Amino acid sequence: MNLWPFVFALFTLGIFCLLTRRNLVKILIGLELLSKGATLALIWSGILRNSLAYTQSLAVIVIAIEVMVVAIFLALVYAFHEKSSSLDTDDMRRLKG
Amino acid sequence: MVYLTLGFLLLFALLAVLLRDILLSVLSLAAVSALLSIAFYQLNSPVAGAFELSVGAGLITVLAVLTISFVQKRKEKRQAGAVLWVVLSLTVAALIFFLFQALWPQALANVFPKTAWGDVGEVLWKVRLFDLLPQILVILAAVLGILALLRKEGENKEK
Repeated sequence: MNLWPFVFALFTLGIFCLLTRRNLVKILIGLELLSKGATLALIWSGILRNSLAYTQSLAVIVIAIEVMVVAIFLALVYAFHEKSSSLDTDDMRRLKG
Repeated sequence: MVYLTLGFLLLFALLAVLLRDILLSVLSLAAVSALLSIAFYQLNSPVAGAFELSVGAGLITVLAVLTISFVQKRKEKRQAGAVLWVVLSLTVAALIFFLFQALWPQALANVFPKTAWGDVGEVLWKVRLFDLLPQILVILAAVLGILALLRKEGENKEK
């Protein structure tokens, strides 16, 4: 049994979403898919190395940090929408320099 | 059986990326989280599975739907077809799971190493205490960051 192709597919989908979508919530979904791929990779590597308890504790922390990333990202989305009434990343260009 | 779960997971991940309606994308992402937690359970990782289900499929979805409801005015009439697609895919996925379990019960035989809940707690609180405490601080910092981001302009001036 090999789960690496699924991890690779999740990473690919996440990166595709990050690179091609311009909606901020879609970008968050791309980040989430990357994070889920990382969690699956952790658990699968724990099975392969027979250290499932350790990798599960790592996965729990990854999930806890993931929800904080999501919360901050959504707060940023809300704050940006309050300023510009848009969710398009193209409208964020005026933030540069 | 894990392959079937992860196959459906990829299907819903694809839906989450490709659907135009962001609310349906978020709901597909919740399905991805739920399927990932089932996969964790099948891989004998119940602690990670429980966390993924409660946080990934629950809390993150609630936060995302709440934000979308604040920032987007929905056009209900145009969503009916897309909602039907997501509900239909979920029903078909559940049906295939049920059939697979009924027809090939030997596929449920678990070949992965087992861990008890206590083992994970022991690792978390004894082996990883050194990095656990800074991470709790990171989470507290994130909470303060969110409060700062959501603060209304002029809130301090009024006081």
